[in-house]
Amino acid sequence: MSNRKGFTLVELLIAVTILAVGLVGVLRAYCILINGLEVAQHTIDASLFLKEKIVGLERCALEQGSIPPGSSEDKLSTVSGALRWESQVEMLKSESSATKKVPAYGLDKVEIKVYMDALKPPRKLTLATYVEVNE
Amino acid sequence: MSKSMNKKGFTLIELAVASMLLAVVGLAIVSTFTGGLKVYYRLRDNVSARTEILMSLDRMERDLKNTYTDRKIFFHGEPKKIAFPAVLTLRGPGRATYYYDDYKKALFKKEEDYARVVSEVSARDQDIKMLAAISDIEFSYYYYDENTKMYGWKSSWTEDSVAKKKNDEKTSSSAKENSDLGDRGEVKRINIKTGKEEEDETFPSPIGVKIKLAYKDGEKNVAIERFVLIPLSVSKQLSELKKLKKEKEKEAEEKAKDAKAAAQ
Repeated sequence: MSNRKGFTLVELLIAVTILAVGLVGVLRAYCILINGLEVAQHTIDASLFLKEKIVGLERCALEQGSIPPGSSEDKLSTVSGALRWESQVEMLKSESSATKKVPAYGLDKVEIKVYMDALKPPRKLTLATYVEVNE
Repeated sequence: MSKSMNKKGFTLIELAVASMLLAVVGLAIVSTFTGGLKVYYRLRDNVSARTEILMSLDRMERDLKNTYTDRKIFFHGEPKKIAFPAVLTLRGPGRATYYYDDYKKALFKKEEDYARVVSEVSARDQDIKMLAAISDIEFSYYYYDENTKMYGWKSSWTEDSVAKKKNDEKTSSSAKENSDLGDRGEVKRINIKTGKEEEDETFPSPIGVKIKLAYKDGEKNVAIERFVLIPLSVSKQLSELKKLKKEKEKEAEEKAKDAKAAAQ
């Protein structure tokens, strides 16, 4: 008889809570998915930029004989958003040649970092490699 | 009385309210689904098109970086077509050809194994694969000009251009040996049948290739540009430059010695 009257407030609250918990789980899964997509897109753009940069440096090494040492940084806008990069070029010297001021290996050490600041949390992609130079 | 009323059924108003509620909920569900489907179709058409293009560019880049110089297969470059010796997946050495089909508006790849190329058998249907739908492509070839000592670009890289180059070398600088073919002069090849020495001809690849590619993303045109340096040619070029540099240094040293001797 009392059942026919309807739900009590407590029953309703419990039902709503259970539903809320379930919904939050589903929505969070969506959120993570979208976040993952964004990270992937940024990473693709960053790696494409790294490729381009490395080829540019190799070309510079070919045409000018060496890569100007030192660090540089800049921003760039891509399909997915703005990125920030830093690069550092260092002449590779052996210990004995450090005194003679002659690079011994004909290699330049190159390190490029791409920062994906638009992401939360921000991510970083680093490439460290050696480029053959004419020295 | 109230019990019997309830048992009779729903009133019109109740039904209307119920159906309205149902309609609202149904509409919400349907609109969510259509929105989701729209997103799905957009992703499938645009993002996967971009992915396909990026993947085919990566393939091209990998093949170009693994190219080698060969006696039977030459590097052949045109503005919309490129063919070169490559290492084919599961089939070993052969020739890879990438070309743009203007009629089908797509990028194609042709893979021929070594035996087929040498015996000049045409490619089978399964050797040709469509890579991605694009709207245009342009290859340009990066090379080192021996005469001007400058790097430049060519819109095509064919045997004619090198034949000319060879003649130029023979006439202009006969003293300079093995200028761009490394140590090929040291190898002698003798034909088994005739017993005569065969001219050992290889054809150099360019130092790099620039790929300019355009595709349509919905209604806007998107362009991608990629520059690929061929490691073999780059190291050859670098060793060439190093040789030149050493020679110059030697000359400078000798000059300095001569100057000293003259001063004494």
